[in-house]
Amino acid sequence: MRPWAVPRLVRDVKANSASVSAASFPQAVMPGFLLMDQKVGWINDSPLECDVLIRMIRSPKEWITSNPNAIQFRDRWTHAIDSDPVVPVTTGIYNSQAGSAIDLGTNTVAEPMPGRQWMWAGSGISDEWVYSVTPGAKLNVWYRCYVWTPPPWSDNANKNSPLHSAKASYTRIQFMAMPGQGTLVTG
Amino acid sequence: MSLKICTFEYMLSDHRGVGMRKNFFPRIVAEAFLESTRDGEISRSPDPVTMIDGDLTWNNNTPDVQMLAMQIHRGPRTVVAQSPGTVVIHDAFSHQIAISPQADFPSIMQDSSGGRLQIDRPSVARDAVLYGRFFFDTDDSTCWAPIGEIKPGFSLHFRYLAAVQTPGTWTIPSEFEPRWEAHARWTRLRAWAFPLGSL
Repeated sequence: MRPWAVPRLVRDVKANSASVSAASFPQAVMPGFLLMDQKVGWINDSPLECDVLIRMIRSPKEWITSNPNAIQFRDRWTHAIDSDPVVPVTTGIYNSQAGSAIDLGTNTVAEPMPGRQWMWAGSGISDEWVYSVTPGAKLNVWYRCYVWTPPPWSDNANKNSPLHSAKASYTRIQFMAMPGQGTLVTG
Repeated sequence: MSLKICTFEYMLSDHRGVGMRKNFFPRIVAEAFLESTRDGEISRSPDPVTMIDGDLTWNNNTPDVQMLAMQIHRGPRTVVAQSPGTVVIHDAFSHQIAISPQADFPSIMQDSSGGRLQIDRPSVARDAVLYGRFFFDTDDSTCWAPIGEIKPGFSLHFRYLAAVQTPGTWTIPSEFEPRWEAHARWTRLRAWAFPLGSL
């Protein structure tokens, strides 16, 4: 059997995140702060058509938010064969989201009540298949992850002691080429 | 002269040579995209209320044994919970392999996503509840359920269920508008088939 006759990992790229500081908040206008921006491409180097599995492995995330503000991560990827994929902006269509908020209301002088929320979310995998990539064709994938703060935003959150942070260290983008039958016998 | 030579499992032979059958390649053999029918505002549900319910079947009509694994791809989930109530989305799956399989009702909890927020209050009276609301979004994620060997002629029946539940304390405040929501969105089931290696 030739190397391309078995399923194989053909791309493995880590999209590292830009760091978010307290000064990066708020991000109340979509799509928000760009954390990751990564293009990955692969040319089918085998003599046979193959199906490609795009596997996104998201790192664990953590964030802190103060009453009543919300923090949300959104990510999206696009793909195209032999051309550039559309820009994966997460304003409208997107693949996934993670985030939270607590709303505890305000006191009699309209200050948000004291309250902070610490969150941790585990890593996870999201798969997408691209079928029938012909020999010599190039599959292009474009991945982006943003963090934003769904409005409204309060400047005096947590009774005038705001604390906000958001961290999603990386997303690992893998392509697996899955072969099909040869053409000698079945052709 | 056309001559067909003796071949092994997972192989094909004709007068031009030998090659691998389709069932030799790890591949997706069946797929189902299940959508939630109950996304949005919810009310108290001490017993789970179904959001997504669906199944998938596959018959091994190849001449050889196949190893099967199910990939369960859950969409991003969202819950909104008013203090002191809890909102949680559970899911479950079950399967059977037989000539004519009929999997049991998926009732064992496999995964859950949700939460609650409680603001302390002087009493449990409806008008004493303080305002607090919890919002939570989780990323889509994937898990695997190994199914095992399926002999030629046998079939798999795989069932999936996601439900929303509001266990425990539940008070409907009388002094302001409460809101509880649950969004399960979708789940995608994919059946992967692999050849069985030499024993």
